[in-house]
Amino acid sequence: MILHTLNQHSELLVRNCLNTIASGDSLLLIENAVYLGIEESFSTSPMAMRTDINLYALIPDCEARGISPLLFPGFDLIDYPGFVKLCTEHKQVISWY
Amino acid sequence: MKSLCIVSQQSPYASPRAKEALDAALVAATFDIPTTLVLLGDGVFQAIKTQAGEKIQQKNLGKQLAVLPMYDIEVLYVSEQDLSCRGLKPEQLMDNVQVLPGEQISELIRQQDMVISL
Repeated sequence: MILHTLNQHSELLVRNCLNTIASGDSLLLIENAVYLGIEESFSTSPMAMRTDINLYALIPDCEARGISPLLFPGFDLIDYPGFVKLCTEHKQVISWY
Repeated sequence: MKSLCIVSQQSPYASPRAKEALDAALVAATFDIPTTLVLLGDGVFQAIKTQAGEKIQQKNLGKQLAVLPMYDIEVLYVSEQDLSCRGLKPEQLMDNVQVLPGEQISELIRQQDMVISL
């Protein structure tokens, strides 16, 4: 299992990441990438097609940007300790930036 | 006195650019320059009402944008297209924001003497 972290609000980055992501992998949105999780735009994103991956978003970054109430409900929200836990649970971590 | 338009195109918090655009607007307004602030592209994220920069140990940019009327910058202009393609609705933005279609934004920018783009 691989943990993929995205930290930019960029459709291109999403596409690159999704080309490499395998069934059962996890995708974590941090920093500006949390904007990609806004439900209204997420529903038309290629990410929404991938029901075979686990979706996570980092709480402090969502709250700072004011999008917690707007997030697609399929995201598991995690804090910094949760982020560390995810890293330990996956064999590899790939950062997309 | 020549008028100034500041075009801010970056989201807050990840880079200092949004804050720098605001600072430029405040400085200009302090010198009584008629100033217009326009949020385009990812800049529209600056206007989200529920933001709380303190959660990541930063100053809340929304609170700073909210006091612009005290500096005679009555409204912030936001592009309708840039807003909707990012999945946002006007009611999710701060009160001193006006959403305009792209062609009205470009007309607004054309009316100003100078433009600074950040």
